[in-house]
Amino acid sequence: MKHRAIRIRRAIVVLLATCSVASCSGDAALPGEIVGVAVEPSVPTTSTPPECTTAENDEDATRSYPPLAELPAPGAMPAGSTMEEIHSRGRMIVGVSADTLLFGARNPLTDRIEGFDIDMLSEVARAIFGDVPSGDITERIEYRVITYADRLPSLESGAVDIVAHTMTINCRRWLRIAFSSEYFHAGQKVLVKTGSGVATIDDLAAQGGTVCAPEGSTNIDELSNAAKYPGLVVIGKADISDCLVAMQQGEADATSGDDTVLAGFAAQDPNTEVVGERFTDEPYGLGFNRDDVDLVQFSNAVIEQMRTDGRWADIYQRWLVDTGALPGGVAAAPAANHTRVLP
Amino acid sequence: MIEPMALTRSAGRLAGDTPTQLRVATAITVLCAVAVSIGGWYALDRRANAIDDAGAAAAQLVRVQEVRVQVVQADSLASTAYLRGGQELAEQRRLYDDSIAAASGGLIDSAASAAGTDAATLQRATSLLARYVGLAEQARANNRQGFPVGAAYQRQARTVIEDVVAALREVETNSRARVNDTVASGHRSSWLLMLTALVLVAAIVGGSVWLAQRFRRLVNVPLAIAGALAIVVLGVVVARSAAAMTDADDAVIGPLAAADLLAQGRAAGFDARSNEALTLIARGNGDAYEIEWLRSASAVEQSVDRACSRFSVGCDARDWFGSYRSAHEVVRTLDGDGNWDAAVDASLGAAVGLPNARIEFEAFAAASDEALQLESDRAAAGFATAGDSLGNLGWLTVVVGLIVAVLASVGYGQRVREYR
Repeated sequence: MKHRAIRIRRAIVVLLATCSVASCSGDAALPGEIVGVAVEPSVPTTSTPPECTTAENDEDATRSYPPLAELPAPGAMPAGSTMEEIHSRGRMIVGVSADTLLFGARNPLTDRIEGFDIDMLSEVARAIFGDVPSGDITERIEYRVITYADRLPSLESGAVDIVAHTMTINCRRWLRIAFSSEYFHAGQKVLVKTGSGVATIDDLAAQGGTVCAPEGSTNIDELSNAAKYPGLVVIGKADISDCLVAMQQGEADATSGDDTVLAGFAAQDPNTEVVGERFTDEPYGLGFNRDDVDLVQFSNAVIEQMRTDGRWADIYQRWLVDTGALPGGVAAAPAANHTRVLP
Repeated sequence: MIEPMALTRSAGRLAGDTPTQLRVATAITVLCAVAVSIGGWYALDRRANAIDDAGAAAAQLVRVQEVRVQVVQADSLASTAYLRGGQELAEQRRLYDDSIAAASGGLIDSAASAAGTDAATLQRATSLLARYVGLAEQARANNRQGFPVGAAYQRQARTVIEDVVAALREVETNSRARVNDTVASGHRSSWLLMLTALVLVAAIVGGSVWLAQRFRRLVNVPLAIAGALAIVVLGVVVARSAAAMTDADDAVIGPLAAADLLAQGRAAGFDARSNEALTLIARGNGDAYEIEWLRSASAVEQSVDRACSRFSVGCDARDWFGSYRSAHEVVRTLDGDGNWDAAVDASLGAAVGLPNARIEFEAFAAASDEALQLESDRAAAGFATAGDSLGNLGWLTVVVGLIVAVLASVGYGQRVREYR
């Protein structure tokens, strides 16, 4: 019995040895896919945006801080001021759109961002830095291209000094940021396909049409009022130019936004037209961090000068009249309201 | 060794008288020889099929990875061309067209070689690629006319290309699993040949010993020849079969693994280059794309580092990517400091006195491509060699089994005749 057990064990050993020679086991295998790693920045927790009280809502949201009584000379900003900080940094950091034709858009032929908003910022920069040898003040401006939804957060975080991004002044935004006086008065309209038969936003709502508007904008807030526009289907996109794409691809029947922006869209797509009257008021202001009250006052003084010395009218002429974007000649600059009490 | 004499003795005792015992022994040996013929042929056929399937899965993996590289390269070229606006270089445009054509052709070839869910996934990738091309063209056309809506088309094209890449990665994962499964199946297939061969040799040896003891003769010549033939030929068959499997293993863990790493590194590299362009298009607000750049760069570095350290291939590509990383860091510093124009120039290679990210990246792309082609060819050759090694071993096993059966019958027959 003992010998038999030994033989059996030997047989198993021989079998396994032979088996290993014949590659019964030890499979070769490809390793799995390589996965790249990167440390992602922590995302701050979002809290519910503050709401205005009824009394606050009843007040004129375009009230801004009084302008500085006297503008300091370029290059001689008051010590400790936000302007001095910008001057010593050597450049003003601004948040802008790069795809809102006429107001803030990248010109692919020159690689420059240009438009009404950009010119407004250039004047503020010129007041801080003075004329530069090249004559091109934009070399003192650092552009950060931001989406509609990024406008308030980029100011709150201090990532930019000023935002000029067709931004409507309203009470709820004042709770988070500060605004200059109104530098342009726009209104919400609707862009439809040429020959669609839609003449107003109410026509579109009656047809149960789909309208696109940028997320985080006052435009989408207005359209989302189901009681006002029953039957209207609203879709949001990160940027308003995504809405023009949605229209061109048949995802949306219309785009609703400020008439100024829509005029730029109609210029890019001859198969579309802006219809109807303005159904909201959209007063544009430059946006600032809430704490940079001195920069707001400084900018208000610059804008006030522009209103009176014709620079504002020149900008209007260049971007909205010469381009044929808005009918008629140069409109009157919106009246400034500087009655907000300083904090 | 399995108890051959005990087996034969037991059979003999059960069978009763000696002639009957001889006939039983003959039957057992012939049955074992036939089992070797059938089992051996089946096992070798399975191994040959497994090696062929592994080679086909490896070829599919390489093909799909090449499509992914071409797709990501096309997107990288479109993104950087967007930065140039109306000044797109003719050479870059030609490269873009070539990449799209190569990707489309590769998708057709891959779909023809795919089955089941992979075929459906590749079909989806094909239609997504067509959609991408349309969107990229819209972006380009609008961009050239100075219409900013081109940026929106470019963003949409980017999301579509991400879907194409995700689909291709799914097929790559399946192909990788198929290579591993078929190789494992090839390894498992040998047991039947081994078992039947061992039992046959045991039966012949046991029978020979029993005959020697029972008939007082040292050697039964036919049975001895059968044993020698079985041991020598089946030994050669087993050895060559093992060698074929080793060749397949070597192809998998050698050039195919290296090619897999290099292809992944190349795809991640082009993705990084796309993200560099997107950080600049976002102009000062490209943090999200920079995170993606870092993720892609990490994948490149892991891939080419492993390829270089384990297989001594792609070391040039690793070094060039290091140079590109340095140039990219300069691009980011310039952009972060508000010097966007200089950042674009450094990225596109138009800057004087600054690192040239384009040149460094193109050197990485060329070095990794050369290494990848070499390793892919070596992997294909490895599988072909493995398949060729098996040749007609299956039929040889059948013939040997039948000859052994005849010799065993003759050998035992000589002793049976002594009782007539």
